[in-house]
Order: sequence, then structure tokens, then C-alpha cells
Amino acid sequence: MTVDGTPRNPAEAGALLELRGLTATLDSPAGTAHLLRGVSFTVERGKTLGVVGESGSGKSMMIKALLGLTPAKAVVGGESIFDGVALHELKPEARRRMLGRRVGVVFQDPMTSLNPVRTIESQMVEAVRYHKGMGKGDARQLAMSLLDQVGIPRAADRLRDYPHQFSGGMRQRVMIAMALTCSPDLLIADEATTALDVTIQKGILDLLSELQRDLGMAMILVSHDLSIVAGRTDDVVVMYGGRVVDRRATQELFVPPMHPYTRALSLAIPRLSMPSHTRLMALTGAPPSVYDAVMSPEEADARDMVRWESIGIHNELERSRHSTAQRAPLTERPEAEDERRG
Amino acid sequence: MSQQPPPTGATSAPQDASRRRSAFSLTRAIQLPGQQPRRRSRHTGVPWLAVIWLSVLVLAAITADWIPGLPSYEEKIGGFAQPPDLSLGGILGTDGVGRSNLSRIIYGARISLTIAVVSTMIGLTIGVVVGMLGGYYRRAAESVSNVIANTLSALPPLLLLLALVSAMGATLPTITIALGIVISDLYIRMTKGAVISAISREYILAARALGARDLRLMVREVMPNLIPVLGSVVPMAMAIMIIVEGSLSFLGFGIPAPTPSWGGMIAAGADIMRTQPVVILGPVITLFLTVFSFNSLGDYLASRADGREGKL
Amino acid sequence: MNATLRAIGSRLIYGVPVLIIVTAGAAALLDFMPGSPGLAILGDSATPEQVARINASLGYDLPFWERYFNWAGQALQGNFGNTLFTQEPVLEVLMRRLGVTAQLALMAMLSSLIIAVPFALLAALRAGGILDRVLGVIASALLSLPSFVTVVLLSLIFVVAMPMFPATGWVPPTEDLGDNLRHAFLPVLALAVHESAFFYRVVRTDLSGVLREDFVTVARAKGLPKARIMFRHALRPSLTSLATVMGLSLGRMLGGAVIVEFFFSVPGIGAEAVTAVSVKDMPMIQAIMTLCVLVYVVIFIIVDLAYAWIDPRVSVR
Repeated sequence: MTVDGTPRNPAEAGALLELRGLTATLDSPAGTAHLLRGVSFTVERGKTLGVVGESGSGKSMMIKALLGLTPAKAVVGGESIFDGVALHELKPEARRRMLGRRVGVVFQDPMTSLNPVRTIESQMVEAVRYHKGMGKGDARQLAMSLLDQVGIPRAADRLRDYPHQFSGGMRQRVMIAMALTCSPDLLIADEATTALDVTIQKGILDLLSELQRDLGMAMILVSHDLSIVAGRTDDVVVMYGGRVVDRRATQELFVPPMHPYTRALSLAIPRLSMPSHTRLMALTGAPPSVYDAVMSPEEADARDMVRWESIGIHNELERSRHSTAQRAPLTERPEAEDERRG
Repeated sequence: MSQQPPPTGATSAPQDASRRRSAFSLTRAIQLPGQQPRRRSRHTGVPWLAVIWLSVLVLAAITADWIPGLPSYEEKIGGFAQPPDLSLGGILGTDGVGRSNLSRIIYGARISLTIAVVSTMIGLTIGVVVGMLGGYYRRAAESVSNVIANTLSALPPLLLLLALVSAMGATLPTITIALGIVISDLYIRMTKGAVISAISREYILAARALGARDLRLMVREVMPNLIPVLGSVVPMAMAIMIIVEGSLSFLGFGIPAPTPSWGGMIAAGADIMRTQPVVILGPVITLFLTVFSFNSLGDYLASRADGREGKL
Repeated sequence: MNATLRAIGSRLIYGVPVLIIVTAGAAALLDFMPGSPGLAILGDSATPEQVARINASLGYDLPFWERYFNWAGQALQGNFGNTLFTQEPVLEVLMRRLGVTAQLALMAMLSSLIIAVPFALLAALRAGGILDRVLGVIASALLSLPSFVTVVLLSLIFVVAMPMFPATGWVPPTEDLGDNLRHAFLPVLALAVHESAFFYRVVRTDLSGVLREDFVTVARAKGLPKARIMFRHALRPSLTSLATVMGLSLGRMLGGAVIVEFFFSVPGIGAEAVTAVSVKDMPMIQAIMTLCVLVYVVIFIIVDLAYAWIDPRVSVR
């Protein structure tokens, strides 16, 4: 169902969004920063994709590059295809106009994402009035019902309020409602709960899952928190150093063989079944610098070996598994597949 | 000085507006009319032309007496308002009385720069003392410093200057002191704002906990923090000093003739502008370049001072 | 409404000590000035006794505090005395001249806004582009021109080189509107040159700051066109600084358009102030100072109220 109740075409299936080799570079006095180094993945209609990675892995930059929101000086390359439309062939403003209508975005910081000098209503309705030419009254109705749906009490009164009259969690709900006004096919939540209290996080995440189910949207959940992604996504993409290092169905995330980084992530999760005083495994060293030259995935993996070994990824168990794997490429590299495909 | 606007909110992001006080409040940093309002710093490169021009000017002003071939600013070297010729003295032509324009400009620079520097020092002294006391002790002292600064800024600077000069007479020392008083409210506000934000920082609390005495704290801990803030504003303020002093001379209340001053030269040139428009150009261009250089320098220092704070 | 009235009241009260200091200072000036009003009226040829008699009759032989209290008492009743030379009621003269200065100031401010704001918006739309950079340089250059240079240059262009406007003088609008505007053109232009550069700078910089805020990214993500984002999202938060700057500009022009009025012989407050100081017209000087402080206080009250109106987070204290 879409937001206003019209049923989605049940026959629609398949890839809604496809990224191929998305790159982003930025020239700065310190050198050329390669913020994205060839990111590729697919988002299926109606499904949820999780994007996991630490700060600096490029996940937010990837969202920005997709939406055409990168800083003016950044150069974006690669291909992005949304519902059959080649976004990379569009001019930036045309791209934003198209995506603005069909993709809803919820950003990280609810405290700064809303214009402090305008009412909630004016900010909620501007997109739908621009894209769909909706009249004032209809738009207000829509806004009210959406606020209701996201759990804001007394929606009618609240429309006239200003952002500072809402708490952080409420503001994020408003952001979600705002993102849904145009009945988007895809909802992107970029660290949407990171700035919120843990107790509120769950509420927001549950809301997102519920809305996604009801409206049949595709969703991308970006987070550095694996637990957020774990129970709520169909597929997951792991990013590290500006590239995708692992890509699989969520249920199979920790089924070996997996990229050493994914393994490291799993080792960092505390489990109640562990004996007491078990040390959590944390990687030593630092993620690769954005200023590193462009390199192939094999070269990158070789460079990163030191890091993986620091927590004994190649312990007894792994070694036995890897001894068979070592004859094959070190990691399961989706990009290598694309390269082979040509 | 009523010429300056209260801040554009440069010191606080929009979401801190709840902390924003009324425009009357003096706890915010001030910008000057010529200064680029500071939001986030744009990295402007060092304004080399400005530095070169100012260096040349200062050099000429200092060595004026020893420049060979430069006539004194009083002697008549030619007819009334002659166009430029090839002699050193006549290279910018002569003024309405026949004196060398170049010479008058250089000696005028001496006056203007001296006044600018000394009045700035006076203004800084008053400003730092009042601002420091007000910002450090708060409450009563702050109210007093507020009243002082408000009083000084309530009146347009030129009128205040006129009043002071009419009372004290128009000599180099009195004009300089009067200018220092006029500009001091800018320094009071900036100092007070910087002091207030500095004393809330933890190293001050730590020093206090260790029993440091007030005076020591003010001088050793707080003062160094004032330097980048005040330093970035000094060139701008000096530009204002030059302009205001020029305005005073233009109106005829400045340093009496025959001492040359740029404002006076422009006023005199304006009188004969109809027949000899060229006379004006020398002092106008010099004045403009000097003020522009100070403003550029101030812009650069301001962007650097901001950047430094950002990295903290 | 109550909070607003209380806020206005507190601002006014805050202005009282300033008013007292300024006017007392003006009264005290007399003791420092060489000569005396009596001397100024009668001239050098008068005998000391004649001078002393005039001074006594005007109350200038009294000590500072008595003089001040007398003046203050009268002033609170609306009587600011008479001008020294023409013996006209100071208040009348002042009001007349205030009208002239106010006309110049308002016209200058309006034209500056009309020029500066659209250019700032245009420059911000293509930030870093040619227009942006050129305008930035022009604004810096104009801000480095003192007003006495501006008036001379404008005169050179519009009076000497291409005589289009009268060099000096003033015709009240009630007499002949066309003539009034012709006489007002150069003074207003002289004022506007500086003010528009100033407004441009302030708005342009504020816009660049606002355009970096998150909510602008959100607006772009919504797919709204650039111009709409500029007007609906970026402009409003920038208005607070503009309001402040406008207030100051008005205050500055009302009291301080001295050079412009002097040069173009416009009968405004600034020109009157210069004359008053040079002839030591004490009643006029004190009245002008009072006016300046009042203008300052009133403008700040208005600016504060404007702040509260523009930014809903700021409450009138």
C-alpha cells in the first residue's frame, strides 16, 4: 500500500535500485581523498537492505552520492540506476528532483534537520505540494494522518508548532512522517537512531519496520550498529574503507566463509554464553586512509591483513577453514564478480 | 562606536539561539563595518598587496625627512594646482597653494598612521582594562562596563569626536586621545565577551582551585586568549581611525594647517575640483588603498583566528 | 503582550543611565571648552563685562550641577531651550531637521536593501562563481571608501563631469517633490553606497552559513529547486542579522550622516550638529545628544522585537 492507501502493483519485483562501481573523490590540500572506492549493491523492491560500517567507511557518503547531495567539489563516478532510470546520466538538479519524489530520507541528527524558523506543517507539506501539486488543505490532511501514523499525539495542533517544541525522538518521528509524504518507493534511514537514546531507538526502529511492511516500500538502513541491522533487514552490505567487503542475506551474515572484517565484527559482539571475563576482540590499528591510492580489492585485502591478524582471525579454526579458501580469492568479492561479468 | 553592528550570531550556531540574548547585551563579539561577518572561516590567503602597500607607506612615512629631493610639505614648489611633472616633488602635481602633493601625502601618512597607532593603543588599554574587569568580576563590574560601552556607542562616533575635540582643542595629542576614547567601546565589548567565554573554561577553574589569585589569572591565563581575538580586530579598527580622523579634518576640525592630513587635502581639493579635478586623486587613492589594505589584513587575521578556535 | 511591554520597559530603563551620562557630559563640556557662549554671541570685540552679563542671563555662570538640573528639569517638560543665535525653540528646529535626515536615511536604507539583498541571493545561488567573487571584491572596495571620499567622487561624476544634479542645497518635499528628489539623489546615493555594500556582506555571509546547515541538505534531498530553497529556507534565518544591521544602519544615518549633509548642504541633524559644536550652541548640542541616545534606545528595542518575531526560539525577555 502507498501512503494514501492505493495498493502497490503486486507484480512489481526485482531491483529497485542498483549501484555499480560508485566512486567519489575530493581534491583537498592534503591530497586526493577517495571517499568511495567502487561501491556496488542492489536493493530489491519491498525489501530492506542494511548497510553496516564504522565511521569513515563511506556509508553516509554513499547515500549522499546516490542522492546527489555530495559537496560541490566532490567528483562522483560509477553508475546508479533507479527503477530503470540511469541517474548518473541526469543533471544534479534533475536527479534530485526525481529522487526527491520517490525516495524518502531520514537523516541522523533530528535536532538540526528541521528548519527552526518554520512550522512543522510548512516543512512537511512543501515536498508533496511541489512534486504532486497537492492543494493546501489536502496536504494538511496528509500531514496530519502521517503524524498520527508515526505516533505523534494531537497531530492537528502540533502542525502549527516549531521544531524546538519537540523532543529529539519526536522530531525524528516527524522526519519519518515528512519522508513519507510523497509515498516513496524507497526509504533511506541514514543512522536515523544514532543520535537518540537507546530507549527511544527501539521505538523508532519498530516504527520504521512497521511502516515498511504497511506501505511495501524498500528500505535502506544505514548504521554502525550491527544489532540494529541484524533483526530488521533482509540483506546486508558491509562497508570498510570506502568499499563493500561483504554482501549477503542477513540470515547468513555470520555463516563462513566471510570477509575478515565481518568476522571481526562478529567477534566483537558480546554473548551471554561466553565465560566470564572473556575479552572482547577489538581490532588494533586504524581503518585505511582516504588518501591511499586507488587499488584493487586484492591489494586492499593484502594491506589489511595485518589488522585482521591482530585479533587472530587466523586462529586454529579459521586457518583450517581458510586453508581451503586460500586457493580461492581471499574474500568473497562481489565487485570481482562484476568485473568478471564485464 | 555606533558604527558597529551587534553580532550576526557568528559566535553561536542557530540551534544555540535559546542562549541568544538581546541586541543590547554586550556579551557577543562585534564586527566592524569593513569586516566580513564571521560565520565559519573561509580561508583567505595572505593579502600580499595589502602588506606591501602598508610597508611601503610606513617606510615612506618614517624616512620622509631623509628622502632626497622631497620638498617639505610647506614649501611652494610650483604654481597653483599644476599637473604631474617629472620631478620627485611634482610627480603627483601640486595642490591649490602650490605645495608638492607627494610630499603632503607622505607627511600626511605620518600623521594618520601615528594617530591610528597611538589611538588604537589608548583604546586597547581602556578597552582591555574595563572589559577584563567587567568580564571577570561580572555583576556590578559588568553593569558598569556595559553602561560605559553603551554610552560610548550611543553617540555617532563623529559627533562624539567633535564634542571631545571642541572641548579639548584640536591638537595631535587631544585628537589622538579623543579617538582612543571613541574606539574603546569596541574593545570593551570584545574583551568582555572573550573574557567571559575564557573564564568558563576548565583550565581557569583548575587554576582557581589551586588558589591562583585573580590578578595573576587575568594576566597569565586570560590575557593570552584575548590576543588572537583582539589582534584580528585591530587592523579594522585602525582603518576606522584613519577614516574618522580624515572625516574630522575634512570638516575642518582636525589638525590645523599647514600640517597636512589626507582629509584636509581632500576637502581642499574638493573646493577646486571643478577646474582641477586631478588634485584630489592623489590623496583619494592613497587613502583608499590604505583603508582597503587594513581591511584586507583584518579579514585575513580574523579568518585565521576563527580557524584556530575551531580546531580546539 | 505583557511580556513585550515589560521587555520594552526594561530596555527603556536600561537606557536611562546612558541618557544621564551623555547629557551630563554634554553639560560638562561647557566647562572644558575655551571661550563661552557669551563670547561666541557677542564676538571678540565685546568687553568681558558684556560677555559675563550675557552668560549670566543665559545661566552659564552657574556651576555644572545647577546648570544640568535646570536643563534636565526643563527638558523633561519638553522645553529644550532656544538656539543660541537665532533664539528659536530648539525642539522645533530639531524636529524640522530630523525630518530631513529621516528622509535621507529611509531612502538610503530602502535603496540599499533593494540593491543588496537580491545580489546576495544571486551570488549565493552560485556560490564561488564569478558573480560571487566579483561582488565580494566590489563590496570590500566600497566599504573601504570613507564617506567624505564618496561624496567628493560622486560630486565629481554627477556635478562636474556630467551636470545632472544640483551640487548642494535642499528643497522640502512639501514645496516641490520633483526638486526635492533631485536634491536628495546625491546625498542618498552617497549614503547608499556604503550601506548597500555592508548589507550585501552581511546577508551573503549569513546565507553561506545557513546553506551549510543540515535542514538545507534535507530540503535538497526532498528535491526542491535551488531558488525555492534559497527563499523559503535560507533567507529567513539570515534575516535576524539583517534586522540588526538595518537597525544600526538607521541609527548611524540618523545621527551620523554628518559628512554627507555637510558637503551637500542638506539641512539635517548632522549638519546642525557640526554648526552647533563650532559655535558652542549648548542647548542645541545637548538636545542633539539627547536625541541620539533616544534614537539608539528605540532602535534597539525595535531590533529586539524583530528578532523575536523572526526567530520563534527567541523569546522577548
